[in-house]
This record gives sequence, C-alpha cells and structure tokens, in this order.
Amino acid sequence: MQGERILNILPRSVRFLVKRSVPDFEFLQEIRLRTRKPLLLVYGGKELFVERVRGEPYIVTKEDLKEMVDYISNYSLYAYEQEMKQGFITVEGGHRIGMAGQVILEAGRVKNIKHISSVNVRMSHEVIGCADKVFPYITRQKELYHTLVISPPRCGKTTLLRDMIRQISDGNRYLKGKSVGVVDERSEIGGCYMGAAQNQLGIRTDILDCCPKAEGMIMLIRSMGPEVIAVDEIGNEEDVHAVEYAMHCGCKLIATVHGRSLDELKRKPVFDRLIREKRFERYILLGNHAGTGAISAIYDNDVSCLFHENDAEKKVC
Amino acid sequence: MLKIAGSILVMGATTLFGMKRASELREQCRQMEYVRHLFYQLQSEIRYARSPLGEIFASIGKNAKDPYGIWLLRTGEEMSKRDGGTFYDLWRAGVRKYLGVSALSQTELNRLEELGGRLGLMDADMQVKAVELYLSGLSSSIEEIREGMKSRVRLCHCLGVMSGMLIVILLL
Repeated sequence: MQGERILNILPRSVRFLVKRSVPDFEFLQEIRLRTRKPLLLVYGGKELFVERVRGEPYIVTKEDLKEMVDYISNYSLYAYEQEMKQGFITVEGGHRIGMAGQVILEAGRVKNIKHISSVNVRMSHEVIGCADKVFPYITRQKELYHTLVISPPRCGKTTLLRDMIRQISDGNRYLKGKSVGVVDERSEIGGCYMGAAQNQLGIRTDILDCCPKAEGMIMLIRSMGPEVIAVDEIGNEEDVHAVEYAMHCGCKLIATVHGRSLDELKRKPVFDRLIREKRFERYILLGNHAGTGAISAIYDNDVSCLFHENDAEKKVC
Repeated sequence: MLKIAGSILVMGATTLFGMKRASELREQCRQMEYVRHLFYQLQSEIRYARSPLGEIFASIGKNAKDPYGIWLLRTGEEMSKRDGGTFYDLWRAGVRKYLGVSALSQTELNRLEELGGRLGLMDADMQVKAVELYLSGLSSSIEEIREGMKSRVRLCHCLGVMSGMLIVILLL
C-alpha cells in the first residue's frame, strides 16, 4: 500500500524501475530525482542507483520532473502556493516532497518555485510501538510530563512523536487515554487527506492540518479543550510563545525541535530561556549513529541524565 | 377520409418537430445557465478554499446533474489515476467524452475545452481570472440566446405548422 502510494506519484517511466530496485518499501528512505542526473534511492541508509538496464543508471529527464510535479500537486499547483514557499509539499501518507529550481521572489521574499530541477521524496514511516520505551521516562503517576524531542533531521523524531500521540490518545499502562490536539503544519504527523489523518493517531486526537503552529495551538485550546498538545519542529519565537501559552492553560506539551544536543539548543536564545526556566520537564535526544530512531539520552528539567544510550538497548523506532 | 387523416398526421408531426426544436433552444439556454452556476462554485472553491481541482470536481460533481456530474467525477478520477497526460489532455478528453450528449452548442464545448489549458497552473489569482473570463463569455452567450429566444421559439413553432401545411398542399 505504502509502496503503491509512492510509486503513484513517480513519473510513469521510472515506476517499474523503482519497484524492481526496492525489495521492501519499509526500508526506503528517499528517492532523489535531478534533471539529467541518475535516479538515486536511499535504501536502508545506503545510496542506490536505479538501473535502466544492467550497469546503466536511469537518467532523469526534464519531462519526468514536469510529470511528477503534476502528480504531486494533483494538477493544481496553485493549491500548494503556501507549501511551495517552504520548498516542499506533503503528499497523502505524510511523505515530504522537497523541490528545488528557480525561485520566484516578490518584495524580496520567496513566493514560489518554477523550473523545478530537483525533487526529493522523503518517506514517512509509521512505526507502531516505537515510543514504548520512552513512556516510563515521560510519565509519572499516570500523568504526562511536558516533553521536548531533540533530534537532527532524518533521525525519526516525527515517527516517535506520532507514536507518542497515538499512545497518549489511546492510553497505555503508563497513563489513561487523554484528548490530544495536534497542530500538523506540514501534514507530516497525520498524513492527512482532506482533513482526515491517514496515520494512526489514536481515538482521542483532534488534528488541525496545514495550520501554522502558533495560531493552531491557540485555536485548539479555545475550540477543542485538549489535555495534551503535540507539535512538530518548533523553531521561532512565535512558536515558543504559543508553547508557553498552552502550558499556562494547563495543557501538557509534547514537541520536537531540530538539534544535535541540549548544548546546541541552549545556543539558540529562545530555547535557552525555555531550558533555563524549566518549561519542559523531559528532553529526549535522538541520534542516528545506532540507526534511525535511536535514543541517545533522556534528561529531566534540571538537565540530569535519566537514560543514556550506553545504559540500555539502543534502538527505539 | 384517409387524406384528411394523413394531412392531420403530417401537420401534427411537423408541428411537434417545431415544438421540439423550440424546446431544445430553451434547454440549451437552461444548461448554459447551469454550467455557469457550476463554474461559480468552482471559482469560489479556488478563491477561498484553494482546493486542488480533483477535490473540487469530486465535491461539485457529487451533487451536479448529469451529464455534468458524471463528467466532473470521471475527470477527477482520471486525474487521481496519475496515468500520464497533462491536465489539459484529461480535461479535453472528458469534455469530448461526456458532454457530447449535453445541449451545449459546439462553440460552447470548444470554449469549455480551451478553459482546460488555463487551469491547474501556479497562480491562484490567474486561475480565478481564467474562470472569470470563461464565465463572462458564457454570460454574454446566454444573453444573446435569451434575447433572440422569443422570436426563435415563435419561428420554430410557425415553421413547424407551415412546413406541415406545405407538405400537405404538395401531397394533395
């Protein structure tokens, strides 16, 4: 199913070749298409050339990319103007399609991208149960801690967040089911199609799709009364203010942020303040040296280490 | 007696033919107004919801009368198959396949086909303007037809009766 969905957005000329080169779509991480360059896959952490015939790589054409852009945008590029400003579109299933080409500027700001010459398909993977091992650290007496997941790109933070949301919403042995509000600005958590989540996010989850994080958190608090709010990739001051507002309103927060360590995060002024003021009670640090989704460490609000990868079995998701 | 019966039948047939032609004219106008109504919906979906075309076709086509409903739904389905061709190719094929049976004139069908070449592009404002342009052309055609409709309907009726009379005179 996952494979078919992804093959469906590829140009017709490469569908069979990709299918032939990928034994299991679960291990496919990226598909990279660049005009007049070989078609590349990242499969199980390794780069793979897609061969047209034995020993001869498939060279991507301009027409291939044009056809693919039609498929990605459902023949309606105008509907993805906002997403294109950020350089990517999220398709059904939560897969992120990054694009590069010639940028159109308006008043000095990026308005859109034309003459697309590179496309990168980043596969979204739903790993049910990958958050099992973090729950003993982020809950206490059936209550959840404010938790921040820190991770470099491609280390599985969205996958971990998605499973955390599912388990918090459905309930597990560490806490009873809670209503969760998800602000899914890039449609990566829920992989929404026409407003409905395609990934499993639990029975008590309300999702605001394609909504800016800061605005979305406030909307959810006012409209849905969530006990827990989940957001992916907080980054700017506005997001942090909304996170604080949500905390003041009595909601528990689970969020992710790009970073390689707590020290690196402290170098960013807005996050340094958050850490100093002990807003978050748990920090989960992900790394990929032991494979995608490996937990490097878990810290509490005093930045004391509760878990370190050398202490236990490493891979979580 | 037989001649009288034959004359009545001929007159009846030609009168009915004239009435049918008049009703076709009225139907053409009605369908053009209906198409205008559908494209107002499409325009507002693009302008306010920024929905992709496939989604718009599915939501409008669900409640639209045939053949327009089936045309929009099938075009949306063809788009979701992602089986090659540009949007214009799919749109044109859909118009030709499903709207040939409609009461729209060939000129209107051509105009509708041409609209497909301007949909699905990058700029939402341009999409709205393309639909606006199509709608203004359609509205003028509706006005033209409506203006001449009364006399044309009367002409159809008269021609139906008169041609019947002529045939009867010639045959007698």
